[in-house]
Amino acid sequence: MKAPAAYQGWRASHFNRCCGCDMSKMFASSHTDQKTHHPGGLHISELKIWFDTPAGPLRAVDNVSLSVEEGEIVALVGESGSGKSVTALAALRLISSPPGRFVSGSVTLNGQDILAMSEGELEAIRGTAAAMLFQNPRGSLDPSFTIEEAFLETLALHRPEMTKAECYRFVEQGLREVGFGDWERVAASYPHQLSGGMCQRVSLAITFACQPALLIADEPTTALDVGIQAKVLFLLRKLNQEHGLPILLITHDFGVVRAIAHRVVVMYAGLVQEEGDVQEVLKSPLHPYTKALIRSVPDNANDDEALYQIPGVPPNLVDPPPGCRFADRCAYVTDVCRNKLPELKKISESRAVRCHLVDSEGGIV
Amino acid sequence: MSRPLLSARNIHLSYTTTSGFLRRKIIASTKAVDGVSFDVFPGETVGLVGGSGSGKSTLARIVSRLIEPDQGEVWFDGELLTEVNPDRMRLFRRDIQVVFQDPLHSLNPRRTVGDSIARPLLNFSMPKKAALAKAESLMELVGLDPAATSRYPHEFSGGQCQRIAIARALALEPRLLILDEPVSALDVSVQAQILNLLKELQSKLDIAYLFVSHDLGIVRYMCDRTLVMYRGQILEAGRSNEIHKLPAHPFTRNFLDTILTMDGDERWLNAATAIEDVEEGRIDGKGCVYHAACAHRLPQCKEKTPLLKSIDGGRSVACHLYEEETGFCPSDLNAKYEGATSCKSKS
Repeated sequence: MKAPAAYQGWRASHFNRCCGCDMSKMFASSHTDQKTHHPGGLHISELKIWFDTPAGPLRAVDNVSLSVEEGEIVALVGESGSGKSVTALAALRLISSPPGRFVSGSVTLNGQDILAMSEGELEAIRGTAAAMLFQNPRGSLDPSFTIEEAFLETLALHRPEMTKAECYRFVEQGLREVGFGDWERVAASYPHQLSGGMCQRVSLAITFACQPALLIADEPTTALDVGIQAKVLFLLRKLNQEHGLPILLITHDFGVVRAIAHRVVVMYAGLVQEEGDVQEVLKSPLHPYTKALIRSVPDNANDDEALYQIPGVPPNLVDPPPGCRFADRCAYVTDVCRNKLPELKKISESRAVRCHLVDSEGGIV
Repeated sequence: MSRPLLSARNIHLSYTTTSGFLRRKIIASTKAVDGVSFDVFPGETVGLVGGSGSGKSTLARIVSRLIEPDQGEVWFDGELLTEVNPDRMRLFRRDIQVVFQDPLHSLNPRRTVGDSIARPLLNFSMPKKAALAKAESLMELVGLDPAATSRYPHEFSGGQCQRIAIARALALEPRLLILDEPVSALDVSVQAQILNLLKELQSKLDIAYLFVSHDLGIVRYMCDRTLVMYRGQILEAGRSNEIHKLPAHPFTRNFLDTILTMDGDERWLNAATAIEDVEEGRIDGKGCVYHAACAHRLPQCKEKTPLLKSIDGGRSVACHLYEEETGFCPSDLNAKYEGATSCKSKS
């Protein structure tokens, strides 16, 4: 596995900046054993993941295809239970089996087949080939270690070539980068002494320290305040723009999508419902579910109107309805929607939608 | 106006970091709440807004007496809550209930939700049968199936769990409900459901809400009045709509800018770059808490602590920009934003 050239360059300059020593050589050597060049990014195709439950298999992810190319930010949008997090976890095979089961499909990360790897090989690529940023920041930090200890442990694991002094400088630089002016106090604190937003910035700093080739961010800003959300999104966008870091961003908030993503994939009830270029999808959403999601973002324009809410709840995926899975909550539902599952229709090069009401040119039937 | 239901006067609380095992030494101390006073009147909704670590949740915990302040008084319905004896406090617990942020963690996973909702009633010696019947009617009140009382929290979604937590908080018919970020862990579409439910319940039951949130958009939708907090202090207070339309404090302006909108402007990006990693830079607790990051700072901001004082239209703001001789007004702060004209040009 080889990191994109631009990103390697960043890594070199990043190291030179942080400790003044010539770490770039160290980096180069660690990658020379990789002879073959693989296409970067993440490619998931026709993936099916089922969870075995007493009531039968739950089809959490159903024929999902998704790719994150180098230098791209792809947003995976949907509400809880839509299968977006499971899809993301599959990228690093972080799904415990049983009860999870990869039924069919393939996952390729930087050209390597994730589903064929041994547990040991997976261990080696987690954190470096692709790193994960989780939603619950407190849950991803060990409560019995200080922030500094957690940081140093990660560095010892993923960057064994660094000396102790360099590691300490890295901690300072990492914490400063995510906006901690008083980093010394933060480094000496335990997770319970920090607020949720502070914990998330700490785990962001630790994730960046591993210098991954792909970042998977699972609702990274859901539990954060808007100020820190803007800061975190700004950092993600900066990493992407300056160093070509590809990001798979999982969220339920179209505000976040609009702010930083290039492409968006909308999931509902285990199926991809719509995908396309962010600007296009926002300008003319085709699927009723996408429309409803965009509408439920609190808008600053209308003052006293009640907030828009999507009625009903998602279907049970152990026994999904035969027709469109959004039919029960859809405002435009017809008879055919209840009986026949619509295909994911390709409308243009980048655009696809799964709805009976949309024809192959993207017009409304 | 009537007597306030809850009033907090000059609340202070510091969190300290200690080191050493036998001789514990205080190595660092953070002022989580620094001289805060506010009132909540019966039946109104007061929003407490601020970033992470601004002390808003700590303040909510202090007024519900889950933690004790270092200094300051909390009055509830004319009694000094910080000094009542434990027996009397137990009675006040009925009047002040709290709904926490994480709905799954605030419910006991080993108890059916019916048990959880009935628990506060049983604590106040209601017969078991009546308590369970009340639990069912509460489930209905929050829009859930009353027959589901025999199910366990993991069988519900996050939004449904939050409804259950609200039902439990309402069981004792409180007069004040403290909502500590009740929707920030929920999906956008579910958020709307919970907010609409809370509004509906308030008009039905006439309870006062203290609504803690980091989202000014939600607070404007929910609250009559808003208090904006930063580093343990209230920097601005006033009617939610007005604060949203025409913020007076530079911090509030920046905080509003960070909200992501769908209209395609990139204001959040500028605001994010403006949130620099500044140290507080105050000496001996003097000066404005926001001065280091403020785009409008004046020389005196570093030395003199601005006091919260009233400006036009029932608004209070703690900022040196609003000294009398300068004639500065909120419109000047918002000059580059649409719809704001300078107040000087009017006169």
